[in-house]
Amino acid sequence: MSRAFAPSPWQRFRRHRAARGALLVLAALTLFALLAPPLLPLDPHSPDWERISVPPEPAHPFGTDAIGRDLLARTALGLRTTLLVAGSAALLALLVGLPWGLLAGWVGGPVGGLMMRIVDVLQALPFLFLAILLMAVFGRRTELLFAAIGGYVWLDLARIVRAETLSLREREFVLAARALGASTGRILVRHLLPQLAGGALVALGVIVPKVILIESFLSYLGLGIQEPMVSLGGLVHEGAQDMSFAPWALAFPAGFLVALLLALHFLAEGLRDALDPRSPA
Amino acid sequence: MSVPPVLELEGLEIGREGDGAPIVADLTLSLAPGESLGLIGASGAGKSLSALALLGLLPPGLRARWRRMALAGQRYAAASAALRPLRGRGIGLVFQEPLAALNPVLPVGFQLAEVLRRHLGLARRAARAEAAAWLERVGLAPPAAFLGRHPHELSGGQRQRVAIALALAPGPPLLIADEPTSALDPPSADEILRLLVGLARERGTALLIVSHELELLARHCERLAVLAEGRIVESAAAAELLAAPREPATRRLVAARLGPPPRPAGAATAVAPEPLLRVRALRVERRARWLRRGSPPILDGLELELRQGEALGLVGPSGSGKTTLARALLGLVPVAGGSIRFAGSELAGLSPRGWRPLRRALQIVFQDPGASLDPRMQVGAIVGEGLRIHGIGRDAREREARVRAALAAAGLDPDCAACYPHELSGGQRQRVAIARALALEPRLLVLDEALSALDAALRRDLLALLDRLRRELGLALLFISHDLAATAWLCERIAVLEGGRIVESGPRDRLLAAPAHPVTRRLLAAAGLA
Repeated sequence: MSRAFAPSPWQRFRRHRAARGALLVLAALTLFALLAPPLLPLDPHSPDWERISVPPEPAHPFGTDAIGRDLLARTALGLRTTLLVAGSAALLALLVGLPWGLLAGWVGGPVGGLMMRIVDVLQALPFLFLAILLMAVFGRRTELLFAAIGGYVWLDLARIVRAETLSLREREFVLAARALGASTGRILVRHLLPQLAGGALVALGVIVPKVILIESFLSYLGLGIQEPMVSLGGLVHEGAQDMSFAPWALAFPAGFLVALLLALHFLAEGLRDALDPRSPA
Repeated sequence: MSVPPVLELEGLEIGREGDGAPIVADLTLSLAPGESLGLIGASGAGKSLSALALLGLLPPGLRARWRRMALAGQRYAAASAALRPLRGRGIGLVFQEPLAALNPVLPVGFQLAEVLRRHLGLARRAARAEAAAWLERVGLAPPAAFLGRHPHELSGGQRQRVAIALALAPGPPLLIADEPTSALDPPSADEILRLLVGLARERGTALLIVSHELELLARHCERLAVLAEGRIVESAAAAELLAAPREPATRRLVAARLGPPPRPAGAATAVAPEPLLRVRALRVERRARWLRRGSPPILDGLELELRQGEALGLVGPSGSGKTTLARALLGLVPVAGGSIRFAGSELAGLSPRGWRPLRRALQIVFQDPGASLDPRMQVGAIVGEGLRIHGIGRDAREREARVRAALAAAGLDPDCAACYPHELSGGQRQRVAIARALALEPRLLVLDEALSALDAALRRDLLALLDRLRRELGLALLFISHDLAATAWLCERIAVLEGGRIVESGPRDRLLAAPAHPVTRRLLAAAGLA
């Protein structure tokens, strides 16, 4: 019997057309955010008093805003901030939420229960209200915003991972691994983590866009990232005010935000399918 | 024929949408009122698909066509919409897994009454009375005790009885039972088939039973039809088919039945004098404290002995503690009392660290390889995991060689190492599980219902494999099963477990010839060995 070898996760991922496209879009967005400000002779901060609220033109490809700042440079800057927020949120969720949920589910009993009660309490706090309160008391500081978002993003993931772990640990292949003599660490890392990866990625695909939207919303309220820094949400906020006479000031940041959210969604979906050898290639 | 047939099916063809070879080609059968026909065939022959096609319930991607299909004299086209009125009133259906067919949140009496009201237009009160009558008919008496129960409060056999009542209540002229007993232990399976055939005959319902268990069907059905290569290759009275199979496919099925047990080949099986495993007064409690109160331990005062190179069969009905024993022997559930001595070490109360070196010598194969193999690992990694854990083999190359040797010993193509479990058939998967155990070169192999999920031909192949491993490697086998026929084939000594203790044990021939305990006699009867 000769058979074709089962495709590796990477091969499976490459066959997923939407995910491949999403990865390209994401790479292009990242490159744009990183390279546009230093490479282009455009300044996101200093206004050009001669050219206020001009539509896209060769000197300002995305036009300028109400005080004459170049929108291409500002969009790139905002995108960089938003990617930073999204990336750190994803990293934090993975570093805290995943192990937390895995341990709570595996240990179970009173300890696991206590770990989940902590999650419950944190989740019961009205996040937006808390964020606004923090900003009002301690001033509008970017670190505070990151801390507030960070304290929030890992909760959903911990919950999802724990539920998944609870059902996985009763599965027979875990018993089979123990019968082989596998240590707890080995079972967690070699058997449970790969099973959890799919669900965790899908959860991240929901959590990260949510964080981006929350940050955008806070920035829209004027409570998020503060000048001279700017995020896509803040740009949308500024653009929305001048929407009637300068629609490009809204269209470019909003378009980038939508592209980013969609790319993240398809990327998560593609990764999940790629990691599951049973999903149709 | 004086009585017109209930079902006439001519030239049924099932194929994938688009092109591709048909799965079922030119299947023709007919059924008289009250007649029971067993449709039998190897796994994947298209038995269940043929049954589902009659109701227009094929899974997406498959299409059915027929030259002619008539039920009770009326012709139907092979389109889902045309067949919809048949479901329920025209053709009743009993599934393999009754828990899936019953609504988990409604009492069974309510579900029955609902069917009666909908299909027969009975009033609420009349429907309830009729529902009670149906429960009694399917042997759930007194009905008052069962009407208000939910499906989870019934045993598997009782649930299947409810499912039968549900299917028969609207009075369909044809009842199709798709593997109705595969999820049940042999005594319940036997009773369910007797009930099905009896009720069908009594009510003049034609009965089509799809199953891979030839033995069981032959005992209950009047006629058997063998499905192979997409068509019915042979159809005859049950006894005749068993006695004189004409077609090769039939002969293969008949041959897959277990023959006489292999005789010990003289000195080939040298049985050591000292027992390898000695269990004394073993007690295992229920895990949750609230379950423990007032209920007896799962295992209590269990004793057994097993020598190197010996196969001990452990049989018992569902819930007798077989699986718990297997897990207690492997330290997977805590032992509450007693002693387990294995190869000079005491296993009861051993720490995980103390267990580690012993794991190599004591291995297990679980019932369902679909569950016991990690779905995200390739076969090579699964079989090689124990080697890596115990640091066996100098380098990756030597481990790979050992993995390939273990796969070959389990009767698999070593190139399978690159497959994922879901790409293999059920029988191949169970061989992977056996290879995983063999890779560690164990002295004792515990098989927990390891062959119960396989069809007869695969079961026989794997029994022969186990017997060969015992002889050639001097492996001790603890074969745990509810299938007495398979156990008797493999094991020279059999112990019967009931209520957490061994109620009878002894040499196979003595046990089969003169069973002392009623549980043993029941198991024998269900296996057709009495």
